[in-house]
Amino acid sequence: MNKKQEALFEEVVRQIGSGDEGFAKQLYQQYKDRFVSWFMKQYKLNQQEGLELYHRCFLVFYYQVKRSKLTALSSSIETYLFGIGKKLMMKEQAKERIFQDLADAELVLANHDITDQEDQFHQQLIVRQILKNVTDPCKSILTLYYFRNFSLESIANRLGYQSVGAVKKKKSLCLKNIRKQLKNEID
Amino acid sequence: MTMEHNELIEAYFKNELSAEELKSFQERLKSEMEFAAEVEDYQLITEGIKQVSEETDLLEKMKTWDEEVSAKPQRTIFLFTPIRIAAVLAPIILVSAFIIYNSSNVSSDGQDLFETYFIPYDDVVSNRSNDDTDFRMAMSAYNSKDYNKTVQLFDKVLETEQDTEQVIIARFYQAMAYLSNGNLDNSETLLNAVVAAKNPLFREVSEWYLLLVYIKGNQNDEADRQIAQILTNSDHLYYQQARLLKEDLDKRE
Repeated sequence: MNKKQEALFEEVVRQIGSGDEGFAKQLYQQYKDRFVSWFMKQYKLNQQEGLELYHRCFLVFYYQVKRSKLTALSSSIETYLFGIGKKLMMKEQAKERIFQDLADAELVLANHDITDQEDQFHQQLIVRQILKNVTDPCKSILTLYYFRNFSLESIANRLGYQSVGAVKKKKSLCLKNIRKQLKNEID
Repeated sequence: MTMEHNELIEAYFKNELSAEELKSFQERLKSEMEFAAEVEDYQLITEGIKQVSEETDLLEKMKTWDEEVSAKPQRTIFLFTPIRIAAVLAPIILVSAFIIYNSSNVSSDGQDLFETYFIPYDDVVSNRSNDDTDFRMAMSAYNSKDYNKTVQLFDKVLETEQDTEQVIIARFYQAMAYLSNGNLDNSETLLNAVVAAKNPLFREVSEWYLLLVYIKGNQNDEADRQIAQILTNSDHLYYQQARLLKEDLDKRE
């Protein structure tokens, strides 16, 4: 990677770290068209499939940077995004797995790290799969509480629970069920 | 993971334990394997919730950015050669023919989509303290999926109920019962009443179910308006479901 690319990547790390949405949008748009047309041509994808592949690759890149899993690049950002796309396509074509989320993709990309962190990766993947199948009201309660940082009281008001205690009880049951599924999957 | 454990672990991660509680907590972590595993799982699960929600959010944003780009006006080309006109008209004729051919299937399309997305709303009110026997019986009928009985019992509740919140709840679950039985008109009326109430209880939930009423009834214009309304608020409880449903609808167009 040349000095100019290094400087660009440093800026990307800084801006993504600061959570600047305008920058994320600009970065997303910057590589989209070339990426989508190349993969449509090379892998005979339609526009929608090409776009979905780009979404997954951008998501992987963005959160690898944001979560400090990617701190240096040996190539340009564009080459890196294309690299993720090619690996995902190879894996999909081999029909070993259908990639549905970031954890799937990261497992493929980071397979050289898996030996050290295999258990942790494996558990994270299982948790993600379980969470993707969580339905309401658990889904709403857990998202509002743990992601949007709503208070139990405002969750109660929004979802129709009268008491905070009822939401607390339901939240606890939801976590208990997820943990039960996690234990079943791991055992 | 009992509720007490849950609160204790949560307080630990929020740094809300007193020095004494923290000491006892750390001792338990060392001496009780099951407790330590519970703490570890709690962290794994709650981190997972944050990460999956965060990623879903970015994915939604990317789709919005794509729509913004595709909504921008395209360059106009003023070359009306016969070939170009034919090229423009051919897809229109084909699409029109397709729509006419498929118009007899519109009804089953709405039904399919409805079945994909419709789940009667959970009973989240039975813990509420109330002495109203009819109300409790109505909820019991609802939980047993006896929707005819639910409707009858809520009729009785609504004849006498004065409490605004209880009225909203009764209307909402009666609407659910009607919708489960396929009575779209009554369901729509009740859900509209819940949405129009000053009290926000069940408002967003009702907006989502109103959308499903329109989908099932193939009321396409109303469905479009309802989706657009939900999608104006990215914090809407059913924002993601509405987006998914919109994608499904767009695929069918």
